[in-house]
Order: sequence, then structure tokens, then C-alpha cells
Amino acid sequence: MKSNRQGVLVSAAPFIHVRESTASLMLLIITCLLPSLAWSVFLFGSDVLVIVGVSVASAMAAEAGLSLVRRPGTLMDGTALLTGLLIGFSMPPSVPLYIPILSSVFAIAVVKWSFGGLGANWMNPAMAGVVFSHVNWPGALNSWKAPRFLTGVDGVSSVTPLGLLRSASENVEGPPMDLLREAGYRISSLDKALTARLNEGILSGLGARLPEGYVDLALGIRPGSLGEMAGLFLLAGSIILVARRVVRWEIPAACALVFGILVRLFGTGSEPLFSGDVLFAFFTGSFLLVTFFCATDPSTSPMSRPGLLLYGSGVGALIFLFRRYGAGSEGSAYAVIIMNCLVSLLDSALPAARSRRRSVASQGVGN
Amino acid sequence: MTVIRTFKYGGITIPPKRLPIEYPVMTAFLPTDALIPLRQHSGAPARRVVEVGESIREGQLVGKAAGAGSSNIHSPIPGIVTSIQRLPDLQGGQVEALAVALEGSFDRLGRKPETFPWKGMSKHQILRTIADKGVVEDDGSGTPLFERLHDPKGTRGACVLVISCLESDPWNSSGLAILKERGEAIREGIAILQRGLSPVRTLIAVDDPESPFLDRPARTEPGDEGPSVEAVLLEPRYPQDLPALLKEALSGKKAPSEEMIVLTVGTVASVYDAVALNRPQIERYITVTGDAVKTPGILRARIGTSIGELLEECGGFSSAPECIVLNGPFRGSAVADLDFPILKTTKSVVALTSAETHRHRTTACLRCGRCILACPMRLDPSRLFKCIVRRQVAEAVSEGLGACTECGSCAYLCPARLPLVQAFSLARKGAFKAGAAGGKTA
Repeated sequence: MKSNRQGVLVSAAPFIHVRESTASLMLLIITCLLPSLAWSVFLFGSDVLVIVGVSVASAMAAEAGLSLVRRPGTLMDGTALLTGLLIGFSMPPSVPLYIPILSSVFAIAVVKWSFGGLGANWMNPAMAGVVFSHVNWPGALNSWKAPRFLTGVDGVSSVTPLGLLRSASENVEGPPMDLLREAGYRISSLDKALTARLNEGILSGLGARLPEGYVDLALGIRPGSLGEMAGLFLLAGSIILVARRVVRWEIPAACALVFGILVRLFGTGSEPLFSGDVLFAFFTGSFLLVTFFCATDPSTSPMSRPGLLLYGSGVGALIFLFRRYGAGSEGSAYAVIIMNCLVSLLDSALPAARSRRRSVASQGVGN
Repeated sequence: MTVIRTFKYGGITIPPKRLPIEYPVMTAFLPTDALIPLRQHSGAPARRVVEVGESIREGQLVGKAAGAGSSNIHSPIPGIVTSIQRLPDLQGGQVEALAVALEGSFDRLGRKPETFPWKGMSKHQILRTIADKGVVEDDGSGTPLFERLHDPKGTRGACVLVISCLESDPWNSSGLAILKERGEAIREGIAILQRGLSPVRTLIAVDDPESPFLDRPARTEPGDEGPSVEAVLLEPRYPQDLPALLKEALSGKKAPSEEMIVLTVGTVASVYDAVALNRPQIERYITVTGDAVKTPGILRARIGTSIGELLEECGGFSSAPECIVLNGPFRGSAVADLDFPILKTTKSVVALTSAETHRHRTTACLRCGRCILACPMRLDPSRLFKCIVRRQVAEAVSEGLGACTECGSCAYLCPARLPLVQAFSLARKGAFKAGAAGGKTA
């Protein structure tokens, strides 16, 4: 860009751009996550703010340090803030503070910057940071706390529904919600009231009946990590992101479809074949958070439509695989980083992309 | 219900920036000092045929076409050649320009134009007149129209004439003004072109549902049954004016086998001026717009008028412009100098504010894929850019760099503000010099 004597810029066309910039896109994603944060603070208290704040601050500090050394000016693009936020969201409410700090620093310094920072990520930094924490401190990351509404209720506390289901379903078969109830899983009075209201109202007209417990799941009134709690808030945010085309719809659509079909066929762990509980699977664990906010990170997902569909299907299939047959009760972060590593293959090797390119190249020097 | 057609893949839908215009549009003041570059077309500069100090008439030949792509240049005003200057050329480099001081009387201005009985002219005479009067295409390329129409070896088979009423840029509305004010001239210009070209079909591509050409595409004088003209309504979409996309939009799946010759309404109006009014190309409809302009509008201006004078007639700047662009912000060129003159290929002067340009610092590619969805040529701009940055231009060429039309859709949408078009343009210029050798081995 040269500036002439009248102070008018002279550069190359096009001279106008859309309003969206890298920073504004990141800001929109962060904004869509804020309702979940607020809900989490309401459920678990102000400790949540400390954990998320520490995580964000350490991610941004790492980014600031590295951008000073390697490529200045990347701190304000919002990507480090988002990474820190997602890591904070994946922590359990009673986590010792050194874990989010070290995970965020690992995510930024090792995963994000090892090949040159934004745009050269080989894995989603946030997901890699989460995996890092799970590998190093499995115990600390598996101790849970009951949220508001559940503190006064008798029963087993501080186990996530998925974790409890895993131990409860070792010998018994049956719908997950029934098994949980038998194992002593607690349901809030809010859920009981709302479910009754729903069953009397809309659902009775449709001839359907909602069992107790699902309202708790959708509102995140269950033990779990900070950001995955409010499934409904996450869904609302994701609708905004898809509508504004910040995330490509292909990824969550393919992921939810494949995951849903597999769960329907093989269940979450306790159901007999072909009668899996899809609703339960969607609203437990970090499925929604990961599908809509982590797997969709554009830097670490393919660019062509067939690539996106395959990538989304892969994430969905792997989440199912890890949940159903894996060693831990949750494996969404692993699913995402494994598919991240396949992105460059998906981008370059898909026959559709290749044939398109050939046809374009054979047109030669047109126009 | 009629199906409104458009091209299939990519592109951008931007509502056209329609200006509240009163017709007839304002005629700009005649320039007291006109600057006439000797290159206002695609090829080599015209050969100067007047000297400093010589007094010239309105419409007198001042530059004679010199070789392929070159075109005659006429003086827009009567006056005295005061000096020969060097001007920056929009295609790069510098070009000779005549400075003419207004003096003497007008031969044409203010007089009722005489209509030349062109119906007695032969095909050859029509083309010859178009060449003599220096008509160039106003689609931005500046190709001399004669070269587009001429078929010296007789190799052209059947052809389809397509008159495009589409604007080259959402910020241009000059075509609209020409349509509104010169409808009859365009209809007659089409008839002239039909005689000069004998197309098997003539189509008018329109993207404004209120266009008068939809109801009455051809002249309908009694006893004047010329060849038929069909109007086709298209969806307004950028960059539909590119011939390849226009062809796709017009024909849908069943592409016509005939060659398509696409001309804009501005070109057709110039053809009418040249052949029927015996007038060289010395006047343009110029859209002066952008948020930095106080009262945007369309002006009829003589070639050689400086853009500064036009901006002044539109009330000057209401706020400081970030950049001033000729021919629209998508594909135009920025000018630094307000003394730069209007050329035969100029359509608009756009003074953009920073609120319109949304300029940001460049960040790394986010891989969001918007560029891929936007590219009407179905290229992968992010991949091409990566290849070029790594200096693998040959690889970029094999990925289809040659098909890029530099329409700017990708760079417009890029949230990382990568200089995509700039990179493609530079790589093409470098690639095709060295690329001839590479092409042979491939």
C-alpha cells in the first residue's frame, strides 16, 4: 500500500470487502458461547469465572509471548481468547487452577505455534489442550461437583451421567435413564415439575410422553464440565453461527447424523441393539459443544464440501466409538484431533476436488 | 412464471447501488483544459498526428491507430494543443497525453445532429466507420470494436449477438442512464450491428425487471421489419457480465454452439453515434458515487475532463475518501491524482470511505472456504494463493490460475483480507512470460 501526497491509498482491487474480519468472526463465536458461560456461573458459582478467566489469561499470555518472538500482531485476532475459553469450558468445576493454565499454554505454545500459528494449526489447539489435561491429570479431571438444583437432593452425586451409566451398565441392559435411576442418579425438582407440565400440555396432544430426567440434561442440571452444561444454549448459539455462515453446516450436520444413527443402532452402552437413546446421547458429555464449536474450527477442517461431510462423519463416528467402546466415558476431544490430522489428506485427495481441478486446468488460459 | 436465470456457481449477490437520478442527467462542464492520453484502448498507444501549438477542432483526429489493439483518438473539445505530457497508464507504465486548452467554436455541440442514412451502407463500410471513429468496447478491456467484429479470413461461422445491459460493478449505474436516455439510439445501434455482423440471433441480457427492453427489445417502426431481438431477464448477480458467465446464465444447460459476441449498451450507443451520427467517441456517461461524495449522480462528460472536476460538480467530498477508484471497487483501479482524465473506458468515479472499504490488517488464512464458494470459475483461491506464496507458480497454473478472471469475489469475501487478486494478477504476469516454455514441456 502506497500513500500519495494527498493521503489517498493506492492499492489493488478489490477496494471493498465484507464487514467480517478474522477478529469479528472470532468475536461472534465467543459471543455465542457467553450465554453458556453465564448459565455455568449460575449453576456452579463464581469459581467458574476464575477457572475460565485463568485459562483465557494464560492462553493470551502464551500467544502474546510467541507472537512477539515469531509473528507480531496476532494477539488481537481473538483466536487465543477463543482457545482459552474452550479449554476453560472443558474443565470440571472443581479443577485445580494449574491444570487449565498448563493446558492453555500447551495448546498455544506447542500445538498452535509449532508450525507457525493461526492458519497453520495441525490440530485444534483447544482440543489438544483438553486431551493434554486428560492424559496428565485423569483423576483431577474426573472429580465432579453437583450443580445448583441438585445440591439438596439425595442420591449419588459427583458422577457424570455417562460415567455412572458406564459402571451401572456392566451387567444390566435397558434404557439409560432407567439404569441411571436405579443406580441412584438424582433428578432435580425443576425437571420433575417441567416434565409433568410438558407431558400434560403439548406432548399429551401429540400422544408422546417424556420420561423424567431429560429436562435436566437439556438444561445442564447434571454434573459435568463447565461449558458443556447448557445444551439448549449451545444449540441456540450454533444456529446463529450456521446462519451467519461462520461455521459450515456440513460439519455439525454430518457429525450429528452419523453419531445419531450409530447411537440408535448400537446404543450408548446399555441399550439393546437398534433401540439406542439418541436424545440422551446428544445431551450428555460434551457432544454439542464439540460438534458445534470445536470440530467446526475452520482452520482445522477441510475446505471442500465432500471433505467437510466426510470430516463431520468421521468426528461423529469416532465420538460414538470412544464413548461406546473406549477406555474413558468421553472421547470427543480425541475424535476431533484425530480427524484434524486427516484434513490435509481430505483436502487434496478427494476425487471430486481432483477432477474439478483437472477440468479447470484443461480449460487453459481463458478470457 | 418466467424463470429468472443466472450463472450456476459462485459469485456475489449485492444489491446494486441505485442512485436517485433525474433524467436527463446533468451534462458536466466542458473542460477548459482537457488531457487526452494517446492510449485509451487495449493495444499500443495511438500515433500522435498533431503538434504543440496546433489548433484543433472538436472531434478532430489527434491520434491514429498504430497496430493491433490500437484505436483512433479524437479531440473532445476545440482548442490549442498546449503541451505533451506523460501520464501514468492504468495498465501500468506511462503514456503520452495531449493537453488541450479550450478555444474556438464547437462544430457539433448545441446543433441538431444529422442522421446519416446508414441503411445504404455495406457491411464493410459499417465496420470501417466503427474503426475510423475510434469505438472501443466499454467493458473495461478497451478492445477496439472493429477487431471484435471484423472477420478478415471469413472463418467465423454463425454467431449470436448479445447486448448486455448488466453493469460491470454494483457501484456503476452508467448503463442504466444510457438505457433510459438513449433507448432509441440503442435499438438503432443494434440494427446497425445486426447489419454489420449478420448474427443468427440477437439477445438482450437484462437484470432489471423494469427495463424498457423487456417489453420492446427491437425497433417497431411500421414498415421496418428488421431481424428479431429477444430480451432475457437475469438475476442481478456479480460478476454476471463476464462473457463466460453470461453465456452460462443465458443458455442454461443447452449451451448454443454458436460463437457469442457480447457487447455492452454503452458500446452499442457509441456504434450508433459513429455510424448514424458520424460522431467519434468523445463523450461518456460517468457515475460519480461513493459515500465520500456529497451528492452522487451520473454526469455526461467529455473525454479528457479530469475526475477532480467531476467530483467538484457533485458537491465535492462530504468526508475524507480513503481511496478513489475508477470503474468500480471490484475490478477498477485506484487513482492517486485528481487531475487524471476520463477515458473512453471510464464508467465511474467512486470515492470510498473507510466505512465502505472495511479495510483491516491481513491475518493468516482461516481456511474458512468462503473464497471457494465465491469463485465463479470454480477455482480454489486459497490453494492458488498458497502455491504463489510458496513461489510454485507452475503448480498454481496447473490448478487453474489461467482461468481466473480477477473478478475479486474471493478477495471481497476473505475475512483474513488476503491480497488474493493482487497475487493472482502478479503471478499471471510473471507466469505467462516464463510460462510459455513451461507450457510446451507440459
